[in-house]
Amino acid sequence: MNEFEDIQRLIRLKRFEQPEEGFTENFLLQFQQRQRAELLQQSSLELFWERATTWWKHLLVPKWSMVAAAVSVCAVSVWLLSQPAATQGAALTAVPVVPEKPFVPKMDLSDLPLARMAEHDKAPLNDMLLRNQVEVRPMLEGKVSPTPSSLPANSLQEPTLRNAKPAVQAGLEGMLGK
Amino acid sequence: MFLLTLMEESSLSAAATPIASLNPLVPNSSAAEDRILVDKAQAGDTRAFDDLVRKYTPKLYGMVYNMTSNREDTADLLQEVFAKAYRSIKRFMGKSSFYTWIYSIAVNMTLNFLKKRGRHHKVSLDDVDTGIENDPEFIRLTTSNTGTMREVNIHELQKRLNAAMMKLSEDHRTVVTLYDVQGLQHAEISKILGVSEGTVRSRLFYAHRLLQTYLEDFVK
Repeated sequence: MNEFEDIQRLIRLKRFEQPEEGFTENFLLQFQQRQRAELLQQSSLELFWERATTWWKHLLVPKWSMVAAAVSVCAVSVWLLSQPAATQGAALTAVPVVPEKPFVPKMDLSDLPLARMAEHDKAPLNDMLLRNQVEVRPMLEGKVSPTPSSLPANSLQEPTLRNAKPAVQAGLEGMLGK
Repeated sequence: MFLLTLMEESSLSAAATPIASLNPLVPNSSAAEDRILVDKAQAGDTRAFDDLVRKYTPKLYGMVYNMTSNREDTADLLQEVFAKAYRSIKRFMGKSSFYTWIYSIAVNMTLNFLKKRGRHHKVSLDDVDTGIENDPEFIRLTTSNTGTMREVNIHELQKRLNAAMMKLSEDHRTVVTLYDVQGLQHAEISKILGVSEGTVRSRLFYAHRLLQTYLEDFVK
């Protein structure tokens, strides 16, 4: 015989502790109500989740695309800047080098000797050129030999029209045959 | 001591009392019925799950109530147990029987509840099941041969029984409840608790010895 048989028989009396009549059906009704409540709660949560995700998509998708574009631009910029200078120069050799034109200052005609002579004699420049042509051309053609009188006496003497007058007269006489 | 005499004269046994129908030893046919109901419930048939709730509510009530000694806590816990079972029914693979599975859920949730509530829960007289004194079989067992009602105070007996059970640790109370009150076998208890049969026997032996000490004036 089990030494604890007496105490076990006593404990078995607790099997009579059962719920009152109708408990099971009431319990089942409560359980069904709870199930429905959980379903409704779940539906609300799902609805909220759906709305939240939709809002999130509408709100963030354009921003994300902009962010992606900005990041791409930054990445390309950084990549370009990080390239070594030699590589960059090599890439630019294909462009033809155009030599710069030297700077030519505007010529000041007043510095020319003929201009100074014209200014000194107050004669028009055209007359000066004509006279010079008349004076120089026969000598170049060998018809008139330059005379020392037509030349300046020294380097300090300026070649003015007055100084050249005798040479011009001699040249004209030679051309006209006296 | 009077009670024990009466009990012996009445040849109390699980098979001879109406509570034999509460014995959760599930025959094969019942297990097969459970399997059909579970299959239907897994397919979304809520009525099949309702049938399972109807079938196991009285059995689980006895187990949870003897663990908590509180009717309101028992009802709330059972709601949680069946709600969890309903949520998990699709994951039930049938490796164990449904009643082992549902008992495991109930035991684990009750133990968690007891840990949260704390071990210093006082058993009040309100926690004593007053319905038991009107149970005809219980009256028959606790009535003297002369027909005089209750030479022992039934309320006092219930109170002492509950107090003795609540003095046990949760693990020991669990095995006593499952073995003595619910009538499960050692192997079934080991499956439900996830411990070896040796552990179940050891806990049971220690719990019985403690209960004998707590209730010695009733058994001798």
